[in-house]
Amino acid sequence: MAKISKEEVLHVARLARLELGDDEIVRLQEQLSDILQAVSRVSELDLSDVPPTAHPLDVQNAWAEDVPHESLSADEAFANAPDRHDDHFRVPPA
Amino acid sequence: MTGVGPGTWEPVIGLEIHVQLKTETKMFCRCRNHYGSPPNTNVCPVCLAFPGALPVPNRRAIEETIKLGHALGCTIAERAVFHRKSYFYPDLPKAYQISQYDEPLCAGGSLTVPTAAGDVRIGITRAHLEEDAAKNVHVAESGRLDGATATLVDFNRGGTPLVEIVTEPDLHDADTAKRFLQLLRQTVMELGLSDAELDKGSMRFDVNVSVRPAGTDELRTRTELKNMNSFNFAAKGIEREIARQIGIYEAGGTVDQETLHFDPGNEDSAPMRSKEEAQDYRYFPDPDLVPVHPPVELVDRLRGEIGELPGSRIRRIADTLSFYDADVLVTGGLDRLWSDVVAAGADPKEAANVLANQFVATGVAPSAVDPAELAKLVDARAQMPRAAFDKALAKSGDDGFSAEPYLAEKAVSDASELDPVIDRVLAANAAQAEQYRSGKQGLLGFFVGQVMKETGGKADPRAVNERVREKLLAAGR
Amino acid sequence: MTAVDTFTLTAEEAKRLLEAGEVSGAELYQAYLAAIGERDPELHAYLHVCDSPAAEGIPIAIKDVISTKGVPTTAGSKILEHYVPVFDATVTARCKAHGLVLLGKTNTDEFAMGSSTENSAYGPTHNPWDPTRVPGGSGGGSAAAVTAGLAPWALGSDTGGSIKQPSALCGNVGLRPTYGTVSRYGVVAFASSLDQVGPVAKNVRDCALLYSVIAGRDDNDLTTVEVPEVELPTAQDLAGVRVGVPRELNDAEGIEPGVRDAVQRAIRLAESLGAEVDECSLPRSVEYGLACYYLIAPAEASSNLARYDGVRYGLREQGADFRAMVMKTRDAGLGDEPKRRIMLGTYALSSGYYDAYYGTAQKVRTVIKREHDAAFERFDVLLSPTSPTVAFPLGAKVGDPLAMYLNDLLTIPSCMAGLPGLNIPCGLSEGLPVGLQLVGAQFSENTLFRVGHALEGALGFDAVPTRFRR
Repeated sequence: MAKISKEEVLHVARLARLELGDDEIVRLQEQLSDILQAVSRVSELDLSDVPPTAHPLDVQNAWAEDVPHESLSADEAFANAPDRHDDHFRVPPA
Repeated sequence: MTGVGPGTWEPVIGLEIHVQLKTETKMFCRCRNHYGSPPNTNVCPVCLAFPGALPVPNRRAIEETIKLGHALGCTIAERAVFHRKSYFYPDLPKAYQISQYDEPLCAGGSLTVPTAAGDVRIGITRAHLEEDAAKNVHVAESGRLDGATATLVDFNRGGTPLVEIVTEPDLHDADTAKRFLQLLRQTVMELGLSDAELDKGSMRFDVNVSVRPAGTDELRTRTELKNMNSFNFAAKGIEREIARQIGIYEAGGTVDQETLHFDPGNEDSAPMRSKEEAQDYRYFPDPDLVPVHPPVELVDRLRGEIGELPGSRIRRIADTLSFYDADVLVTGGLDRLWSDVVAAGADPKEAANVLANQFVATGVAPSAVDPAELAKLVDARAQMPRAAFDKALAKSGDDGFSAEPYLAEKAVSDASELDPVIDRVLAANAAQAEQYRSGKQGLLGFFVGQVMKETGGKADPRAVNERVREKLLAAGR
Repeated sequence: MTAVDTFTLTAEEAKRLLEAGEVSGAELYQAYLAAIGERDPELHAYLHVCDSPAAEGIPIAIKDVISTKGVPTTAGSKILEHYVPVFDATVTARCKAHGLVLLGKTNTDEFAMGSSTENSAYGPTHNPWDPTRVPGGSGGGSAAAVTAGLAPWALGSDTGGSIKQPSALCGNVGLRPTYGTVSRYGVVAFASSLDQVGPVAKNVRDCALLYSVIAGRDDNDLTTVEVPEVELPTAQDLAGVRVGVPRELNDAEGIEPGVRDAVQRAIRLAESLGAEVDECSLPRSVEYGLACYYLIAPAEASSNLARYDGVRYGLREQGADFRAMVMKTRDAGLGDEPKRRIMLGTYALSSGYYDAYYGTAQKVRTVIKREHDAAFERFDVLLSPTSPTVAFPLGAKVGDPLAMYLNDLLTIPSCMAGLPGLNIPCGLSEGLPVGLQLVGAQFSENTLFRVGHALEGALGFDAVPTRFRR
């Protein structure tokens, strides 16, 4: 059950926007299948009455007041930009 | 054709509305939430999704969402969770949007739309809080032979608090859908939650449309209509789509699940159609954000701040006035002033009439007006010259406005004052007087107009009308 | 000026020297630069070394997943090769506010994913005890720097053992704090519900000192809380301390005999210091901990690494359209291990698989937390080896991801429960350091410091690698 098919590998790669080469696909298929095999043992446990833990700490209602802070300067915002076009970030057409 | 009975079709319409909250700062960072700033000036590591940035929720945005939930009669969740909704797009810097999935802040409400034919109750499935995406601008690069394009991204809008409202498919005609949107818009504006401006994108909506044989409760394939940026546009687009689908079914075909992208600049052009791949958003609770457990005192306090909403006010006022008048007053933002003017003694129908017509034309803000003074004007209207009345209305929003000086100006209806003017006008237009007497009754208006002009608008039009007619007839004998 | 032996100088001692005027800040800094110049070409602990600063305080090295304003921060990845943050992580800012001066950024497995620092896109770090071996990971750079006298102390980050395990393999003291006690703002995110920044130091007191500098609630990270005041440990005994020895952590398959022996000796030593020692059990935590971790961590990572799309910073490859650009950029910029974990995590969250994988793992996490909570009703601290093995040779496990994951077998369970863990060196096996893991209840750092300090004193471990001793 834990074996992942080539189609699934390609599908997941697409979802994650990873362009994989053919050899990468084969290797990943193998490795992922092994890993999935190992991790799917979590389903061995009886978890019917167990709630999920999303946070290790029991914190709730963490929020901040609606007061503005100083935003970044243009130099800072674009400091690492691969392609700055005036005051915009430019990318190939979406 | 739509309607009831065999061979007829019932449209099934659902709406998904996004409302930007007009908080000072963004949803998960404290950059200014401001429309129209120069591009990429309200940005920080969080809303630019720099490595290591973390979201910090805006308390006010959460409270305003709860308030909106109350206005929509929703149950406020005891526990609400923010989820990550993943997909890749240039306007989504984290490649996920922080949104809500199966534990939204508000669910299970309704909004009742008053119509002339009675109330229509529209179920609200849910209202949740999320962050808006940034703004993509698709451009053509100049100087390129192949006309290649690029996408420019402005992250100012990214992170704006957004409330998503989803209705049940309880709408069955375009007009009610339009009224629903108008009422929702007015509600959020009155509550001070949003400017809800369609052209600025602070309110946006998508429409889901399907049809079914009247009398059934099946739900057939629906299409999604996007990018209609006015309510009239929406009504038109919905009607066209209903007709299109009926046409398909009556021809024996099937409706495909599609998205119709309208051109916001051109209501009449046919939409582009696309079959959007089912997206796998891989929702999971955002580990950077802890759950929200709205405290009971907070929820109760916010409920108390709602007041009487526009829909209820229309229904209440429609007991006194006609539905039409009630609708015009409330949707025009005039009903509160009307109530106060009536309380000050003015006749309800007269007051409604003045407010909905002459007052609206002045552009004066209803909130600036002293209702007692306006009531005096309404009462005296029949006796006042039109010009004086309009001038008084125009000034009615001024500080310390008093109706007194304007009331003193009574319209002239005294025959001894009017006769000389009327005689002058009739004498100067003898030819037309002759034409009137030989049957051109319509010319009466011409004479009345001339007299009004001569008296600088101070004459009482009804008195002038009567007197001119008497004189014309008398001269004919 | 007093001659500074960077191998043995503790931060506490450096502070004394500076305050007494026996050494200037500049001289101290130069001493470390000289050591780096001498030994780092072999060890490759640093990815970036800073210039001498104007400031005069104690120097510190910082793992390259932690943002440092104006100083490159690569997270050990090509996709951030030229990324220079315009802001400091909160922990960086707190260090600076405390007068600490940045020596440089240390090497790390790419995006903190790994147990050997061999996944760094910039080449591995070498273990100062034996340069043919790994220093552990992901924070091998910080651990190696501290052990080799290239920094008095350092900041690391720990998700599944990335501070503790390198400290074990390099023979120094590393703390993974209680989740929520140290801000993650500005720390390149790997797994949000697991990541914690922590101190790497030569001894327990230095570790506690550095922890007190960085710990505490941060308004920029609302998963943080206030912490109890840090107490620098002084007691040399363990009277009244209840020590638990979890069977499954101590008897796990794969623990080398030499490691087991050293740890057993340390446990007996604890008893001789006055501790009440008893066995306990964490059956499902150890058996299912790894599986649970390798579902939750990659799932969160797949989401946290999605922002590396070439739009606003980092590497960008050419593409005809946005989608092509993103795919090529991520393919070129991300190494094998991040790719593997992104794929695994994406799969675990995908439609149809969420309940079976991620959803189930979140419940197993509750089971692990409850087991630990129960243990801490009876005990103040749990002892076990930190790593099943001593440092292994470079290249020995790179071809086998699952074998590599097993390095974390003993550190992961307490991480899943959000609990603090301290590593102290407790002996040698085959000439290489063995680490003792002390796990405590939430917010029990002071207990860990107390126990660690007393044991450290009694163990008398010489933290200078044999090959560097004069």
